[in-house]
Order: sequence, then structure tokens, then C-alpha cells
Amino acid sequence: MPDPTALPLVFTSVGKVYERSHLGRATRQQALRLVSFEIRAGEIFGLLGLNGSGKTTTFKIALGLIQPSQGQVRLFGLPPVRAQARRKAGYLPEVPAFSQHLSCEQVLAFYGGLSGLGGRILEHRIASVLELCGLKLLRRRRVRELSKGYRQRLGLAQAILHDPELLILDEPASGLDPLAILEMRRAIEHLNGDLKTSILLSSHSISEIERLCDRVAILREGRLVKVLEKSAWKEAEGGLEDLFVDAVAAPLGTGESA
Amino acid sequence: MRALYILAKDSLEEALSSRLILVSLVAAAVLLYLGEAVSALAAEEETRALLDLGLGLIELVTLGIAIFGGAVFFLREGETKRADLILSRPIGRARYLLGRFLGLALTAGVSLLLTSALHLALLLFKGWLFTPAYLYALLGIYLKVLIALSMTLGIALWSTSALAAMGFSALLWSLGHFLPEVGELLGRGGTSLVWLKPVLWIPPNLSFLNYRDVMSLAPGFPPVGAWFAYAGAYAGLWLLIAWDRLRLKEF
Ligand SMILES: Nc1ncnc2c1ncn2[C@@H]1O[C@H](COP(=O)(O)OP(=O)(O)OP(=O)(O)O)[C@@H](O)[C@H]1O
Ligand SMILES: [Mg+2]
Repeated sequence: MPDPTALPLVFTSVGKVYERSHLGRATRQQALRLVSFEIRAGEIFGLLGLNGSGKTTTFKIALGLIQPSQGQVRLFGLPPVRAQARRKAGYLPEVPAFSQHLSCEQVLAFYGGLSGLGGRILEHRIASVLELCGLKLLRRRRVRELSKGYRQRLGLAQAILHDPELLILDEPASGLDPLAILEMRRAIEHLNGDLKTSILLSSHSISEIERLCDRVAILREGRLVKVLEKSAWKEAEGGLEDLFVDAVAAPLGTGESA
Repeated sequence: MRALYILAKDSLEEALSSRLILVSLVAAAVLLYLGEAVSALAAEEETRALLDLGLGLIELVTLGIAIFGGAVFFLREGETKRADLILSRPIGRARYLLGRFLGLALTAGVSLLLTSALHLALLLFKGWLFTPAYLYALLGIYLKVLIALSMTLGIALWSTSALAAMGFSALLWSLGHFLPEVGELLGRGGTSLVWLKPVLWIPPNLSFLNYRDVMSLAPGFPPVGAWFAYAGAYAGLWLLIAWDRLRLKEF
């Protein structure tokens, strides 16, 4: 059973090495090194980093989709490979992929069912997330006929369908038009403000992160080089952008790594 | 239980919507039509030839569907990243494997039912007298196909190559029909090859389930209980092998 007092997510000295062997040649890619952080209940935690810095890897480890090579991860107090631990987590992947032949409604019924929802409750939840994600009129549309932005919305819809306590969003605004980005931000604010959902998200838009997050961590080549509170970038002259550029441009190992 | 049902239903519906079943039906119809033409040559033995040929074709088509489905399924689910979304839900990997296995097994079952209905209609039209042995032959075919499906899943997950999985399963499948003969051969060639005999435990003993070839000889009813026990144990072992790979697989 998950411990109700446990933090939503805790990483302790987590490392990840991707190992591949192809035609007898083994390659190793160190994606994370000694990453430690925790998500507190009710906060919005942002992950910033350049391409390939390890954001998606962090999310996949948090959800037990891949195993850490070192260190320890706890999702609601349990190892994420335990199915039980994932019950209260919702995930919007980088590129949400669904069965092409299903309609939006059917996709949601499928994932809702896997999360243990059924009957009237499921119907009600589906109607409410379709509304929230601006998909109400497209509920009978097949996935193969959806534009990228609408697929992204469907991705958010399935992630929040079961009222998760921790929402993990991998670049939620990617592929969205300006209005949809605004709606996505409102949805995140609503989930966090009204429903007290803890949120872990990554984004390449610093202004978006600046606006939404309570805390931000900066990943650089798999290392967590900085964890900042909101006050830090409110007070800094150049805002979060300058802090970010400093963190990813300064030579490594100059004393600021975690 | 509910998760198993949802996963199985999803893979069955996907197979139906991808027209895989339709393809198999058309193939079966064409083959049955050819079979009918050939059996007409067999003059007085016409229905008998149609029966044998038809069951052979039904087995081939069902086997094809199962082996193809088993070989590509998890590879495709990984490639399209759908696996990530499913596994981020509170679904254990054993359940995920079992649900998908059931879905693929159902798909093969539907194809078997449809093609055999076609076959049976043709037989009855030709004046064949129905016997329950026909149903036992179908059951034998289905159990063999389930064995092939679980083998293919295991091999595909370990080799991560659909082609290798299909080829290797087909090889084990063919070997499985000649185990007694091969065993005898090994014994006969002096003592030098006897040590190879344990290797014969690896392929499934499919001649045991192969009722369709002997049904015309009126051998009495087959040992259905032993059939289920054998097929369940053998397929179960391969599913365990598949699970051992899937357990920590990073899609
Ligand atoms: N399956 C994999 N096999 C091998 N290496 C991988 C794999 N996935 C990611 N990597 C490597 O791990 C590192 C981190 O990748 P990751 O996808 O976590 O980065 P990211 O921060 O999400 O980047 P982006 O902003 O481009 O999405 C990269 O160097 C990447 O090449
Ligand atoms: Mg990424």
C-alpha cells in the first residue's frame, strides 16, 4: 500500500546509463548522474535543460518505464516499478501515441479502464476532461484524423482522466497554437490551484516555466546543476532566463553542481 | 481481471480494424476454392479430400495470423511508444503480457471460427456427414496455434527481430510434428547421437495434438484433458520466458 504521508516523488542519487549492443558493438550513454530532488505535495516543479540533458529520461524513471542504473526512486513512497505506486500518477509523454483506429472517447475509455475506472464514473470523467481539454466537439473523431495539437490535448486528457495526485508533463505545450498554450496553462493552474495536483513538467519555454512553476531544476548533461525557488528568479535581474543561461553555459565543475 | 479484458479486447479490435482477419478470410476462401477444385479430381474420395485439405488450410491461415501477430506485436507497441502510456498506468507487466496474449489468441480464434465455418458449410453442401471428430480436430489446431503464439512472443521479445521470431517459430513448429520420428532416427543411428535426444524436449510435441491427420482413421476421441494440460504447460513456459524479457524491457 502506498504511504499516504509520502512525498509524491523522491529521487536519490539517481544515475542512468543507456546500454545498447548492436552487431556485437556495445555503446553506453550516460544520461543521468547523481540526480537528487523531490516533488512536494501541491507544488509545480519545472525541469529545464537543453536537448538531450535528461528530462525525458527522468520522467520515464519516475514512472518505472525504465530502470535507474544507480540510486533510488520513490513514487508515493514505493518503487515505481510496482503497479500500485503508479495509481495516483498521470503522464503526458513527449509524443503521445494512441491506437489510430480509436476515437477520442474510446482512447479515454481504454486508459480510464486501465486505471480502474468504469461505469458512470468513467463516463462522467471522460465528459469532463474532454470539456477541459477543448475536445468536446471532436470526441467521436478517430485519432488518425487528429492534428498534432489535438493529439497533444488528448494526451493531456488521458493524463488527468483518473484525477492523479502527481501529473508528469513532458513538454506539454509542444505543438500547440498560441491560444491552446494559454488554455493548457489555465488547465495546469486549475489542476494545481483547485484540485491540489502536484505537477512535474518540462518545457523549453522559459517564460512559461517562469509563470507556472514554484520551483525549477536545471539539468545539464544529465547533472542537476541547480534547484531554484520562485523567489530566486523573481529577485534576479535577468529573471530565470539569465539564471538558466548561466547554469548551462558556465564550465562544469566550478562548484555550482549539486 | 478487468485490465486483462480491456487489453485483450483492445488487441482484438485492433486486429479486426486492421483487416488482418479479412485478409485471412479472403486467403482462406481462395484456398478453399482451389481445394475444392483439386478435390474434384479425387473423384469418389471428394469430400474426404476436401476435409483434409480444408483443415490443413485452416491450420495454415490461423498459424500465419498467430505467428505474424506474435512476432510484431510488442515490437510495434514499443516503436509507436504506445507501450509507455499503457505501462505508466497501474498495470503490472505480467498482466500486460497476459492481456495482450489473450487478445492475440482471440484474434487467432476468430479467424479459426470464420474459416472453419466457411469450410464446414462447403463440406455439408457436398453431402458430408458431420461428426464431432471435426470439432476435436479444430480444438487440436487451436491448441497448436496457441503454443506457436506463445513461442513466437518469447522469441520475438528476446531476439527483438520479427523475422527471426517468425522463422524460428516456424522451424520449431515443423520439428514439433516429427518428434517421434526424429527420436527414433537418433536412437537408430548407433549410440553416437543419443545424447541429442534431450534437445527434442525443446520443440513442442505437436504430433500429440495433431488430430486432423488421423481423424479419418476413426481413432476414437482424443485425450482432451491431456491436451489442455500439455498445451497449457508448454505455452505457459514460453510465456514465462517472454515475461522474463518484458519484465525489465525499456521500450
Ligand atoms: N533509448 C535510448 N537509448 C540510448 N540513449 C538514449 C535513449 N534515450 C535517450 N538517450 C540519450 O540520453 C540522453 C538524455 O535524453 P533525454 O531524452 O532524456 O533528453 P531530454 O532532456 O528529454 O531532451 P529533449 O529536450 O530533446 O527532449 C541523450 O543523450 C539521449 O541521446
Ligand atoms: Mg525529452
